Amino acid sequence: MPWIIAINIISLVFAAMTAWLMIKYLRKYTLPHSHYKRLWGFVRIRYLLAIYAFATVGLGALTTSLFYIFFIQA
Amino acid sequence: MEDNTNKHFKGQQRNEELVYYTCKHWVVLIPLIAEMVVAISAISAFVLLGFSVSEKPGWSKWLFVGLSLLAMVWMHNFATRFLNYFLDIVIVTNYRVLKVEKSLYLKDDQNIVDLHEIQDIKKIQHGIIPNLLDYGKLVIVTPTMIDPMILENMPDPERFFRKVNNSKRDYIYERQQQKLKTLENQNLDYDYADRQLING
Repeated sequence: MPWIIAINIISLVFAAMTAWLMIKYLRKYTLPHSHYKRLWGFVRIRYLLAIYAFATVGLGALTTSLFYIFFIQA
Repeated sequence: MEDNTNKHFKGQQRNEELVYYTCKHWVVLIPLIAEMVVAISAISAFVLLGFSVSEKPGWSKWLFVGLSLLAMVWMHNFATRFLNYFLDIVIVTNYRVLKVEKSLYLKDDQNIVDLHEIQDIKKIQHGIIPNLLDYGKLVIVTPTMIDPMILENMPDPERFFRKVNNSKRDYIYERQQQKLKTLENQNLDYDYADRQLING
């Protein structure tokens, strides 16, 4: 269990760092939306970051609960 | 005049205005999306396998930890590459063409060509898929550079081509006007000096 928790903590820290770097960059150099509407420009990066955060927490919760079900509860 | 210093990209000059700004065509994300489908299928298969085996050997605990670590590493790698797609951009301004190759952690490159230096632009759009999805390669040749600037997987290359040509024409016209103005001022100065000599 401690290994799984350690992996998940490192994973959360990395996700937070990635999101922070991206937000910092986007705040510093604003996206010119008037030039950026075409193709994938319509995807708001903040939604992608929200999906990323959700996926990180979700995978962490999944691995921890599966470990508990497979090896501790059994 | 508006101060555009570092407004939309690193190194933007005070009088520099954006003409065109694009990231690569979405076709570059197809391998990533395929990878995601394979990874989600593999994770689901391992979970089902875990539920189907009732008697688990002792080493399976470490296998689980290893696979969890692998899944985490893959997910962060995937997310970082997906976000990097939005940082890898090509910009046309009223002065130059910039190819910004940036990633969140490892890379921060800029390749710049001044508009007046551009000798030739080649648009390469070969094959059914590039023509159907409207993307292609652009090669910008300058006499001063040994290697040309190559822009791969550019969406709507025709539009880019047009924007660069229009900006180049405007830039050259502006430079000519400035030169003419300077020459006129110089001539006025010479006239004034001549008149001073005659009168003096």
